[in-house]
Amino acid sequence: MRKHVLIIARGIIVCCLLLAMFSACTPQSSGNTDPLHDPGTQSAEKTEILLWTNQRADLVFREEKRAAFNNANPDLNVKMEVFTEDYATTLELAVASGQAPDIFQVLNNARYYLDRNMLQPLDKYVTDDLKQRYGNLFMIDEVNTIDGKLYTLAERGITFRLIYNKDIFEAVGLPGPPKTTEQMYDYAKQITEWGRKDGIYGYAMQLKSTASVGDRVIDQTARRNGFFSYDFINGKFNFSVMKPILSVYRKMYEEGIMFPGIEGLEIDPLRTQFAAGKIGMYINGNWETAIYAENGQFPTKCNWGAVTIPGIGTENPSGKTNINNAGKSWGISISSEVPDLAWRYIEYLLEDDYLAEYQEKGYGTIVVPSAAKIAKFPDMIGAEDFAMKDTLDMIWPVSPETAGLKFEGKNAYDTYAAIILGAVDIDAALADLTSRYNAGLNAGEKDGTVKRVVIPNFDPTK
Amino acid sequence: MSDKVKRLLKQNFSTYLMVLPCVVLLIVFVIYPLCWVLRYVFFTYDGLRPEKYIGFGNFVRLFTRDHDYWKSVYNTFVYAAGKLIITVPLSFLLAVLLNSGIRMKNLFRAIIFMPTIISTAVMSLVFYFMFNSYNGIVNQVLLRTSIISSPINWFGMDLAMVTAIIVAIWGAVGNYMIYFLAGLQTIPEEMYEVAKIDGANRMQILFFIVIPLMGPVMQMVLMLSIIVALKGFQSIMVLTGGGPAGATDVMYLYVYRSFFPSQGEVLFAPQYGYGSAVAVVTAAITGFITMLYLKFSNKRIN
Amino acid sequence: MKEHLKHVFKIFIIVVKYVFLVGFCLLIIYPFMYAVFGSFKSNYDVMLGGSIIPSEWIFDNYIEAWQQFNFFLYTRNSIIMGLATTIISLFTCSMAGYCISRREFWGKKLLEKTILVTMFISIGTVTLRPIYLLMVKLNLHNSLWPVILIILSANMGTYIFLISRFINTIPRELDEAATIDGAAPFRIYYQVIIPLIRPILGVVGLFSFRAAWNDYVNANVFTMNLPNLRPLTVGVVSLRYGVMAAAQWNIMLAGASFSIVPILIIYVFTNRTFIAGLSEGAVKG
Repeated sequence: MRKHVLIIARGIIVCCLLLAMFSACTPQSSGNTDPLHDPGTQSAEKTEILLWTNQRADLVFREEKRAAFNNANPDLNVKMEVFTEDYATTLELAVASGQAPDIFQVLNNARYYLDRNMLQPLDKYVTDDLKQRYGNLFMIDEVNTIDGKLYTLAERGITFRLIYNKDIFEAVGLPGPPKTTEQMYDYAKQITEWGRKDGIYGYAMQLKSTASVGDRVIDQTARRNGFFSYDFINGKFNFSVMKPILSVYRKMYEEGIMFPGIEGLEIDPLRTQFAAGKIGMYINGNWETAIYAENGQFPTKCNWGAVTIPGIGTENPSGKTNINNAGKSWGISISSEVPDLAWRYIEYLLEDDYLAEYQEKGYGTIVVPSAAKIAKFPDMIGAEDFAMKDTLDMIWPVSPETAGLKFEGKNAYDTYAAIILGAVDIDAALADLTSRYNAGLNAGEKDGTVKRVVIPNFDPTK
Repeated sequence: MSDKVKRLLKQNFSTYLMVLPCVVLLIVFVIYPLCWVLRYVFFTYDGLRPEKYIGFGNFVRLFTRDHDYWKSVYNTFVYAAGKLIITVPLSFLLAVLLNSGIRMKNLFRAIIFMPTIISTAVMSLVFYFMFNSYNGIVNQVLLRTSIISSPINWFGMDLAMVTAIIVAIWGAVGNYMIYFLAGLQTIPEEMYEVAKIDGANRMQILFFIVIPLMGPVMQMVLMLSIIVALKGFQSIMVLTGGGPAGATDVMYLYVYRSFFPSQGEVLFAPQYGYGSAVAVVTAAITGFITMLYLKFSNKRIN
Repeated sequence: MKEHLKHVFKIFIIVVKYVFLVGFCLLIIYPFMYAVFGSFKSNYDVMLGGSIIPSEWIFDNYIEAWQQFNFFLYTRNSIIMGLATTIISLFTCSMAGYCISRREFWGKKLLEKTILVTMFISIGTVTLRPIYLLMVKLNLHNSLWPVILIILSANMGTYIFLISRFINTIPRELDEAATIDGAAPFRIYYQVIIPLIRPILGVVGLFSFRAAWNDYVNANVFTMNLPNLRPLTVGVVSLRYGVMAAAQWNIMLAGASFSIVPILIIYVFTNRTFIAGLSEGAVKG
């Protein structure tokens, strides 16, 4: 009899433990960010709105403004979550499991989200005032609009420049920042020879994220020189045009001019080293203004500046780099239960004052015409340099590989990385890329999943 | 119903009940996913649009057009071979040393075994710092003692695989040493006595008695280590993420990426059908190697 | 004279052995020491890499890791995962092991073969995707249960194998005696077998806990968008891309140490069991 009691007692203890664990495992409110809390539940006082972003660079500013908004709107409680690593997969998993946030940062072109049924159209919130403020940046087809339905709005644009350390250039005795890729190679070589014993190198790139380098460095250099891997005039891919750019970097890597370990280097470690004065040059976007400032992520004492991306074979390239993210900002997820309230916060995020302050604190360049008119440029290093100029920046049309293209094998960015690292033969790899991407384009066009973009008189030099 | 039948049923009923959780887990977490994968092998499926039947299309693509996959297969073999060639003899040597009457044997044993109980992912992170070409402690020590004059690029194209293998060896030696130790301890003392009486010296004892007797243990260790080495990818995932331009890409990492493709902000369209085909082929390769090894080693033992 | 030489030679060999062993152990330990000592250094100290001992001991790293990076949550999650996996493992595998060893039932051969096959064939991480989809349908994806059960199923074969082998060595007469006394199978299991297989249960328990504590890939997939549920391994590795990642190696080392030290402590007290468990598998296998 006693044994039975013991058995039952033990069983109960185990069950209790299990139950405790089960309840511990299921959603709990703890801490100040709580992704498990059902978005949009009407609790007694506040309605919750959950926002996801992948940007860390402007986090401090956005947090401040979020708190201000919450204070001014006691009936709402906006929460913010940051996912820098694996943002895309995290978002996809969240949507698949019905846990998508209310608002999230829109990074890809609209078709991507439409295919996955992730966004709600915003047309019902559009007012005439809004349309006027935005002017011709209001609806950009394929970027934030598909079939006449609007999914997100323009906010800021990321301009890209060549960033260089003025102190190092002076110490080495270089005449100034490079204007051509040959000069870039040459200057980098001199800097590395001069500074190697102190751990200073001429050029660095965050090759661990091949997509980051491929898009920001390689593609932008191409655009600045008036061409791109997708031929808009004829509507097909041609990657062999990228050869001159890739050759320069490949040579740099081969000859040991590059910062050691670029294959494992991410952008933040790169910035750390730049801030510590160990890197001569690199190419990146206008986040750096805020990042290297005194209260930024990596404050630096170095004198740095930014100039336009070098030309290939000419000191005055005539193309224009793309303004990244232009035309996209925030979207309301299709599963949000409080879209109207979510819109209220998005409106707040896109107010002229908010945007102007964003720019004046050096976090980025605003493209919304009404805000750009009143926003000043802060007196921070880099702000002027990164400012949008008609002669240097434009919004390129959408090319198929960012609008749902499916292809076989390694993607272009991984291939670029392989080329730079000397793992594959340049011509063979680029030719292979061209044929694979075009095959995917043809197949996609046939079953209607991809649009072949053709702009017969496209001229990126105008 | 007679009492006996009733009792049999009752006995078997409780048996079935006892085996039930195990069976349920098997079905849900092993059989079901296997079937899912086997099903999609013949389709293209991107998780958004309904799947399309393409017969053997995935396999054709895999065997004719996908060079990266076969590169990863090659890398897997290099990784496994490199790891085994050093680990197995080394752990055997350590086992022999520890078994030869050393004092503090337990302490040594405990220390050498330590790496196997630690999370490979976390320790790979530490190794990532240690082997960092710019700031890592390994390069700094080497530079300071003037063994090298400029920093070695441990994660560069040439050396990434070497680094991955070093980390793998570090983590595995202790494990196999224990197996060998256990095997060594089954050799009865009398064997040694008899051999000594017959005038054999230590080396002869080692080669003519110990090693042959260790045959079965050796076979098991090798088999286990081959399987583990072929499947291992967690440490590589954290160390290099597949290495510069696929230099350390191994089969199972490639499989993982087909199902969870992501590059931070950019999400390339997933290809589950193709991924399933890759997985099936990978499992087949692993199984084939294992069987090959078993056949080969069985012949040698007999 | 020759005797003397032989003697010297013997001592020489012994010295060489010890030197080799000690040297090797130092190599093995070094990464641990790097992580633990580094976690007490300032970031500059870590990057500079002067000596392995910190020039000044900083405890703030741990406090920062605890507060800023939610290490309390991560630790709690790891503990929950570990305990749950261990307990369920012990239950399931011991019952199954007992049945396989002692009882005959229809489908037993099939079960044994299946378990053996799953031990060898491994589709690996591919199974994560279908399991994830299934968990969504069952609405279990908001918790750590999928991770726990996956880790469990992956190792189940080995544990059942170990346990049933061990039970095989227990004389059947004990069973028969109990049956004659009128005991039902479950009672035999509970009162006769369990107490006798405590050693192997200890091994299985330790191995389960270790597997759960050290798991990375599974937990990573299921907790990607639920940062509050992440266990230590995922939390530590994700630090690499975090805010302070680039600039704060010392904090990351603190995080790493945080995740290794507990299991190390457990190991110090139980290493005999770990090793015995492995040896069991080796010799009887």
